Amino acid sequence: MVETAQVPLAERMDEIAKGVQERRQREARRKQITLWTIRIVSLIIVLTAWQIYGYHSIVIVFVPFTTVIQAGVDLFVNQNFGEAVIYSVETFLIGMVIGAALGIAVGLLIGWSKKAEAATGFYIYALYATPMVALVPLITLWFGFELIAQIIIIVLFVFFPVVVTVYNGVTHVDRSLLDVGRVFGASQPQLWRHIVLPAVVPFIMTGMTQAVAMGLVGMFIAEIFTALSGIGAVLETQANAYHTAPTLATILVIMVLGVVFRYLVSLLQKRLAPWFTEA
Amino acid sequence: MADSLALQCQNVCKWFGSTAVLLDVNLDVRSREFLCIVGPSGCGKTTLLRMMDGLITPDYGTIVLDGAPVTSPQPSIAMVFQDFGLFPWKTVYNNVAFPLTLRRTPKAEADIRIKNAIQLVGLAGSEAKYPKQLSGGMRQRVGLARALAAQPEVMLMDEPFASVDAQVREMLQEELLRIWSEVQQTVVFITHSIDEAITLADRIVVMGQKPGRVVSTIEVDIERPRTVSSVRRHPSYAPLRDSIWSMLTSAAL
Repeated sequence: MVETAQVPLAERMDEIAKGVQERRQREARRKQITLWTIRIVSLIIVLTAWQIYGYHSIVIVFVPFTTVIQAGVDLFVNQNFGEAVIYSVETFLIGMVIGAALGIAVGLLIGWSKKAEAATGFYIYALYATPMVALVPLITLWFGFELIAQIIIIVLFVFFPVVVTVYNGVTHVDRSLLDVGRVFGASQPQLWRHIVLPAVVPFIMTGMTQAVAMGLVGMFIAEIFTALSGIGAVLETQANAYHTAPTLATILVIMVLGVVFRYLVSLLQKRLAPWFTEA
Repeated sequence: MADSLALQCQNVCKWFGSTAVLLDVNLDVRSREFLCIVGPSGCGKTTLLRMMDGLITPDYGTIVLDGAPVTSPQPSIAMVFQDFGLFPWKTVYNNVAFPLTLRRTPKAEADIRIKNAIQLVGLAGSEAKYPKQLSGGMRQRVGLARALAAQPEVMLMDEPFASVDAQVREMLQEELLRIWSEVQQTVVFITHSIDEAITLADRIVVMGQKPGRVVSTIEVDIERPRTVSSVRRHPSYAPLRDSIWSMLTSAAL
């Protein structure tokens, strides 16, 4: 029998706890790796299928993935596609900021004041129910075909989802929390600053996520139905000429834009509402 | 001083629609006493408490605080809520700081009061956590700390331990006994548990329902310092419990 110096369990507890922690982290990491593997494999399968199908299709109908990438590079290098993208993104951002700011302001107002809601709510719901595309001919009639008209169209697309979610958010502020504010003697501005606004932030972010999607739709409609410009013009020109590869490349760029903007909104949400995601 | 009144309810009546929630409620809260209000659900005890703070006003009668009628929420009154009432977007520290932030208490003084309150309820070290990261019992400690940090003359507690499980409830009662012995504030504590009322109170107001009214007021002659178990073993405990129980059941008839 070999005498081993047994360290009592109680003294090794830190070490054991550390071991458990490490094992948990390893397991979590392994889970992440599995999920990412699935994502990558899925992407490889889809792209391979695209490649093979494209290879065997007629050029006008469909083209291989690699051809699309080449066409995309060609668009950027030889056809000033970058400028078109910058123009579209700028227009989109201006419309987005104005539309969201208006949407948030009006949403807060009609959410808080029953009278303001009574005065304006009807028009907002009626317009929200109207497909915005129907308004485009009017907008061009009133504001022409240039940047101003395009921005107004984007604003219209962005404004409604934001105003409706923010309104919803304000009317859903936990009444018992407002009572807490009143009990401790909060003034009206203090109720807003400490309770209403923080409670509405997640709703604002939901509205913004929808607004990004709607705003991009608005951007394309604006660029195609007013003066042809930006990415919309490129898409329209290439598609009309049956240039399938650059058309698909343009669509991919649009997709990337959508993903990037959504990601930026989710970053903003983490920044503005850390309590919403933390533990 | 011992017998001066902190708060008085005089002929208080309240109707919701055409139903009388409270009819002619007369109630004196003495300075620095721990008063429990016991009654079945629906007897209007929460309504009464909300009127004491001025959140709602009586339809008839008056609530008097320091000689003046209460018509709006008072800075000298703080409340602990049944559902905790914590702000999910504020950390423990900032939740406790809330009443002081509203009053723009100087930072240094506020910081001391906040830290003391957090220490007193046993939450030191959790200042940076969000309510979501805390258990029910810990959340109510935050609610308690917030009321303590306000340093009110009267603390109103609306079934504060009703949302936590039985063991935690007893632990919180124990803590409240300890904290109250340190701060000695006037407390009005609502509960539907007879045991809880006897454990905590100097006096118990028994309410009946339909309409809500005061049935009786009982002195609890169990000496302090108390613990949950010392109260249970006290010879006055069982008779008190029986008499309150019979008042509640006969009032329900």
